[in-house]
Amino acid sequence: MIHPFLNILRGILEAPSNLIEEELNAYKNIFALLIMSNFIGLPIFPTSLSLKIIPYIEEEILTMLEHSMELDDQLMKWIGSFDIG
Amino acid sequence: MISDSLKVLFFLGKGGVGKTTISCNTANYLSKSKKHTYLLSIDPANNVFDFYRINSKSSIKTINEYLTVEELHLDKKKEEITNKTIDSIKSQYKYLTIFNLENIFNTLKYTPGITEYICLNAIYETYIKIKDNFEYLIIDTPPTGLFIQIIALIKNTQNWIRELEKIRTKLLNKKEQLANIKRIKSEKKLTDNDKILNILKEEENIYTLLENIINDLKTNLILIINNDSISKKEGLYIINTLRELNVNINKVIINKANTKDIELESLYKNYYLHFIPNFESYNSINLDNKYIKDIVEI
Repeated sequence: MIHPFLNILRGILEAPSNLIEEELNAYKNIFALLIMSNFIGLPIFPTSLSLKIIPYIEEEILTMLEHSMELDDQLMKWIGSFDIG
Repeated sequence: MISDSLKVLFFLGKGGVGKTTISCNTANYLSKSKKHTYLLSIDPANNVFDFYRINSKSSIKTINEYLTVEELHLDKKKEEITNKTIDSIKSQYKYLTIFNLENIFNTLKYTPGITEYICLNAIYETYIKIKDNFEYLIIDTPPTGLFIQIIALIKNTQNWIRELEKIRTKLLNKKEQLANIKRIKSEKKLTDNDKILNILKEEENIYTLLENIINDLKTNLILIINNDSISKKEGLYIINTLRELNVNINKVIINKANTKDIELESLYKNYYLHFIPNFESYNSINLDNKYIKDIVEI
């Protein structure tokens, strides 16, 4: 009898965590994009700061690369996030 | 922290107006007056060692007990920064394949902003190094365009640091929210021990000090112009552009000017003008001390 309640609880916990994860990835993506801007042809950000920070944003760069690969399929990504279908 | 005693003199102006000559003569005058003086050239043209007829691979040379001169070797500094960054990435990253490191950093030499950063960094490091042991820091600056970009970089970087801090804090807050939902407990708040936020804070301190050095009452920004129409116009351009960046010129020197002229005095009516005459006969680059004395009296 306890299983259905556990599943509901898991569902309640997972739905917002997926959204927060999406938001977190969006922040990681924008952070890496800003830091790397000088190297991808958008010279808006001070190079000196980029050089200091680049060594510590491996995680953000990986997210940015993952994000760029999913750009063709944004609709499906959001549908997936909201668990539609 | 700003030094209580170190006075800083920036000599700036159009290329070829005599910045290096006047910087070196001022440094000589001060050292002869037994003032501990450090002359730093951040001009990529690197003429200061030529003035002193120094032929040395080292970038710093002690001329006498009271005078030390330094030239900034840009290419060497660029190489140092590139290697330091690559080494740092290699030690931090697990997956080096995400970068084609060599190709990215080969272009670093020509990336906009890197020369300006090296110049600012040289000013900062020199200031920190000498602030307790020297009385004067004389800075021979690069020509107009580059110098204005150097000054603009201070404000630009400060603005970006603030923006990055905001984004980073939001990012860490999201991470913390996620950790709370997933019940991953951490003893410390992520924002308290984040390496990037710490770097941003350190950088903020550096750029605040640079801003304070430029705006300090003991700092003089001395504009050098010649008595010709292009030089006069460029001088006004420098004054107005720096004013937009909240930086004020303190003195104006008219170099190689034999006669005072009314046009010049009306153009620069808000400034006390120092005239240094052009001696047709002299081949020497050593100027008479009587023309230098006024410059250093702050």
